Amino acid sequence: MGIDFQKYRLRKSMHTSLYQRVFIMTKNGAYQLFTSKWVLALIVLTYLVGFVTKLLSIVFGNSSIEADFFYDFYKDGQLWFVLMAAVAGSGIIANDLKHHTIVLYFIRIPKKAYLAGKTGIVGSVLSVPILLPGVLLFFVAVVSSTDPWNTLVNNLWIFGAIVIMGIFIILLLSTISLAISSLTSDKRYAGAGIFVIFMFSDIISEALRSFIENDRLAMVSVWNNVRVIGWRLFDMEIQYSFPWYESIVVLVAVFICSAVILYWMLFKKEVWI
Amino acid sequence: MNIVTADNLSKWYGEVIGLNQFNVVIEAGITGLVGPNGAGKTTLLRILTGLIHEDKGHVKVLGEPPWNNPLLNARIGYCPEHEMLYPWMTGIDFLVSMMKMHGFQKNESIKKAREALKIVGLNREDSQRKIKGYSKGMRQKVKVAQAFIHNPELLILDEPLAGTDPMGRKTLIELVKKMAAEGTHVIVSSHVLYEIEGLTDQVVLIDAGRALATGHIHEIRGLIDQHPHTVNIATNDARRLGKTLMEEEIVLTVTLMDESHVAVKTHQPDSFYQRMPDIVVNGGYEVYEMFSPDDNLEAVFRYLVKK
Repeated sequence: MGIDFQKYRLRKSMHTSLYQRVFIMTKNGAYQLFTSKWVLALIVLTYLVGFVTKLLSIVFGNSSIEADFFYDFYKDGQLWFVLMAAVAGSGIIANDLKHHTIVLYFIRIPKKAYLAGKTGIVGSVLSVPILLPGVLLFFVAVVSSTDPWNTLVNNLWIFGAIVIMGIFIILLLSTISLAISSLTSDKRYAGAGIFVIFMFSDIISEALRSFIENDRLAMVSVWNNVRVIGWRLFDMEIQYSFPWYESIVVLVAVFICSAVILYWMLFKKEVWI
Repeated sequence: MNIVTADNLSKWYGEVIGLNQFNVVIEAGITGLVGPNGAGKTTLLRILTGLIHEDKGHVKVLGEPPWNNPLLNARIGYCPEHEMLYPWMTGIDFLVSMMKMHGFQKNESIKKAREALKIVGLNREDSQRKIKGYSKGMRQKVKVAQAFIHNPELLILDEPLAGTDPMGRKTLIELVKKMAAEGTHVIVSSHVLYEIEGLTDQVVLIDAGRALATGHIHEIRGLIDQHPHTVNIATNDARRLGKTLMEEEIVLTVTLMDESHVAVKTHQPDSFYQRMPDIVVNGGYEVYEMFSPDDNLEAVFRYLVKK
């Protein structure tokens, strides 16, 4: 049979699975972001502002492990986390649209693999200033205590709360970053969009609450809902009158909106570049 | 074997028609897709690569529908018309990353990327520079290299020769011919007709979203026999030869270009070519050159689009 009439070519070289290819894409993308001076500068700043100050208070504060201490780490760092998402996540799809390279991905890997790889890139980069310092602080606090083993066992739920809260924030920021980035080929607009969604919703919420005395208006702010989840996870008193699961509903709606945008922009929309 | 079958394929962009009931069967080998800018070439190629979806009709590439078909995509190499490179990457790194996306392992990816860059004529030193410093021709070479690097069954090249220097052009034409000889099917589009002539005789002429004609250039020429076929003759005595040719029934008109060139129009080119040796021998003419500008794709295209 002539090669012209063979249905498939012998592809001895195709050893790597789709998962490996997604991993390679994530690794290369994350490496590229970690070598960006802006991303590096933000990571350093985030660590200096959030991690180092908390670390010093653990080492020199002689305090016991408290849930609100770790909750505060996430609460205090929110501006930096959003900045990080705006810088690292804005170009994640926008750059591929700008340089037309999205065509090259779509012809090589399934669209869902592309999305998984891109999510992996943003997620891995955001985990460095969000999840990693939270986990490190916990273990430093455990090691610094007089009875590390008992401290660890008794406060394992705090560790769980730190991990779940970190992953939740990373997923939220990643999903919104990807959705906004898929809407434009200019990463500056995408970055501004990401920043506006988080910070502007906070401002709107506060403004509305100053005019209308209704606690539920706090749900307009994305971060307020994240805080409610945090209070619940870290077993703290919820400072709004509405139940915590209503915040979950709001955030799930945000996730769904982002997913619909991504589905529309990557899976349904034709590539016209 | 049919590489592409399109049946009543239509694509609209609002009120603008990209493809209009486009019918074509593309067979194995190299096929040129020729038409002016805006004819629908890129629309067709994007449908074939699954980047856009047809609004109406059916299309199959290598026997499969192309929309959202990653398994089919793995068998296709695509070189888009537009630039699509990361300027911050080096040429070799870009190709290696593309190979990895195809599922090749690191060492093999590097080896294949080096081979591909050598084939397209990009030297090692240049391949290790960042793409943002490349000339248009060098970028074009990297773009073409990423399309064939994974040894696809079907190579789709959208205006691949645009921006290349004569040497690069020659290299690419030879490369496409070599790949076709090794069993890769190639669909290559161009609005520059002589580029296609250098690559293949098998063409699809497209204009206003319709396939005007498909097949071997000479077969297409047969379709337009109702149009006069021009033959230019360089001879030692154009005036006398012209007078002799006017007496032939199969000759429509004779135009004396100068004292050594005469242009003849005929509806029966085959008969004319058969008669010519007798005319030359009997009249004692010296004929230095005889060629038909109508065999040129440009002329065929002009006839078919009635421009």
